[in-house]
Amino acid sequence: MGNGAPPLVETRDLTMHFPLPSGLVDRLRGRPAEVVRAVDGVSLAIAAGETVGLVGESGCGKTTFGRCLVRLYEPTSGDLRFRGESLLGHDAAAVRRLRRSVQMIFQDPYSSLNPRKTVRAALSEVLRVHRICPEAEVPARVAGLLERVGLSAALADRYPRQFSGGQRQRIGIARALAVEPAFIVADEAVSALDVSIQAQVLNLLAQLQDDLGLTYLFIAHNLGVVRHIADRVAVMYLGTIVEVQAAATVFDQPLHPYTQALVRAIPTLDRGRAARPTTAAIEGDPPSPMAVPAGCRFHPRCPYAMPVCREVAPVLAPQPGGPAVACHLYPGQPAAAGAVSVNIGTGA
Amino acid sequence: MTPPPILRVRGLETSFATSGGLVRAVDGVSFDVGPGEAFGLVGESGCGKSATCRSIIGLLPGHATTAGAVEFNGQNLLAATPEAMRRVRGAEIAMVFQDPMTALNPVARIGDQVAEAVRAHQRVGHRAARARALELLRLVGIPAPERRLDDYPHRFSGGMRQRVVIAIALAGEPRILLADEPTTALDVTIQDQILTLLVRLQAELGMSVVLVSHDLGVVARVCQRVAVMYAGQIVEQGPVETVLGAPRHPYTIGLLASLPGIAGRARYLRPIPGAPPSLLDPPSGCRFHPRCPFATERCPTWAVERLPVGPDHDAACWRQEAIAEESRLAAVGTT
Repeated sequence: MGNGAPPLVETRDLTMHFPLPSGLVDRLRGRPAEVVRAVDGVSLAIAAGETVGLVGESGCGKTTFGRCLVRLYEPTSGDLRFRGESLLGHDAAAVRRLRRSVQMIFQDPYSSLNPRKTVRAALSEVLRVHRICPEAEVPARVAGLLERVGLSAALADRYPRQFSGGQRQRIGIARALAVEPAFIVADEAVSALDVSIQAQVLNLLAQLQDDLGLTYLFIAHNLGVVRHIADRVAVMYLGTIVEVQAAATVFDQPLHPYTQALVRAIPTLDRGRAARPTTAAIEGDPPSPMAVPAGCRFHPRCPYAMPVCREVAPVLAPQPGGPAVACHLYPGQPAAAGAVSVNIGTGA
Repeated sequence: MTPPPILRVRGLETSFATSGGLVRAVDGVSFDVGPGEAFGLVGESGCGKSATCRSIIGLLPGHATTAGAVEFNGQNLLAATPEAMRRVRGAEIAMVFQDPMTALNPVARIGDQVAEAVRAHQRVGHRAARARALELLRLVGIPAPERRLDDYPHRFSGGMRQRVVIAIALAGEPRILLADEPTTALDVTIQDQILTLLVRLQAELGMSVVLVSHDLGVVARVCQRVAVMYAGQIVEQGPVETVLGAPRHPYTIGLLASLPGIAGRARYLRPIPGAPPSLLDPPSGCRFHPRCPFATERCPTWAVERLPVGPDHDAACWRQEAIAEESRLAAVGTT
């Protein structure tokens, strides 16, 4: 990071709001429609060849953010740049070009593969739609893709149901690789797999990155997986990023109180330290993204909450040594006096 | 002196008749659970851990058959009449399931559901049952329970629903709580809260807990002893510190090596090759031998038995001494 070249992928103040259908009574009373603020001003830059882990609990917006990056959703506001070029507001043809560079791997390889298509048919279709290679080369490409993900080319004429969960995820990865992307969003790509199979797929993803120079946004709720695969970790809470830090340090020195709670909540095998603690890492449930608390979104659950936290939304501020954190306990935050006008420009 | 076990499972076999043939989901499983002890059953999908748990309490579907013995209170639960099992279920042995969304009745108030469970086990009036329900909800950490009694389940978060399910399980004051993946559907901070609750309840009520989980960390967080299952059998059993700290069976060793984020941050993990076998036609001898890096020509014909390793620690591998020696040498070589 920070060596002059523009980041491969960058979002600036990216926002994705989903309006909820409002009832007739509400509309007659002139009440504004309720909005789910799934992603609420996220600025994140991902360098070429890097793996950024995006973690957070259900409903924090991590999947929505990933889907915005591959343009499965049209963001409400903000900017999305690929190799320095803004991608929002472009036509369908531009989006299709983007699809060749940006791909996604989904959690459930069974529901993301057409059960009535053989693996060969599924992969060939991708190659043809995106005109990756001349028709005559398609069979060889399919065989090459399968071997690339550790499957025998002899399995190409089977249907998805004839594969195990781990093999299906390999097929999902082969399909993403078919268009020779530079950037892959992996959304809970190993979450449905058993530990021994999960390790095989994680190794495959690492191998592909080493061989092809891929860049990953790795979305996962399993912090152990993220600790293993990511270079940097971004922690999301209620639609915003609260901390970004190197994976090598964030688990030992988490800065944000929410990151600290997440790390403490991981069940560890280290019995000497864990030894059946009798207090939970954090109490309470995350609030709804429909009713986001004022000020810092984490303040109702934060053990260190101060008066300023109830009023002023913290910004993601760089800290010495590289991490960035959005918390009033750390330097770089707007003061309470300017509470009305400081809540902008997190992407500067 | 350790007190006699409260639950003794001996040679448990549970099979399911399927269109493809007989699936031996549990094949000769034996273990003891001590009074007030938390015992973990850990393994991957299809290893038979849930089927073992359900066999104990007699909650298997109609196409299942069981053999062996589940000894509790001087009787074999596998041979008990449906009437006798009803007296055991809830009052002596209760169960908590994975999904708190489906375990509660969506159209009944929380207070009524807990009170109903109380009255199923105790001859008390409506008012006393409601008072007891309030007590139970407070015990499991529902904030301001008196204001939540008349709420429906949809008003509760996933973690709060699992607390309610635990309150219902505790209504009969059971001596053993079976928990089948009780936190798998929950976020990590909520999982931490529920595991903390289980540890506290076990200590406060002196209850035994049998925790089924795919997550070694969850078992380490709650349990004193653990059994590792593979393809319907227990491959290693012992105190959690020993089994996870100095594993002897190659499957346990492989499982721990597969865990990301544990052994530092090596670029590549050391996964177990291959995939678990089909239980329609499991491998002969040691069922792990096709995937085992330590296997020899004897393993496919070895009559599997659990061999003692140390105090209350056993592993079903005849090569465990040699493997421990090899691992020790390898560890010395890398440092």
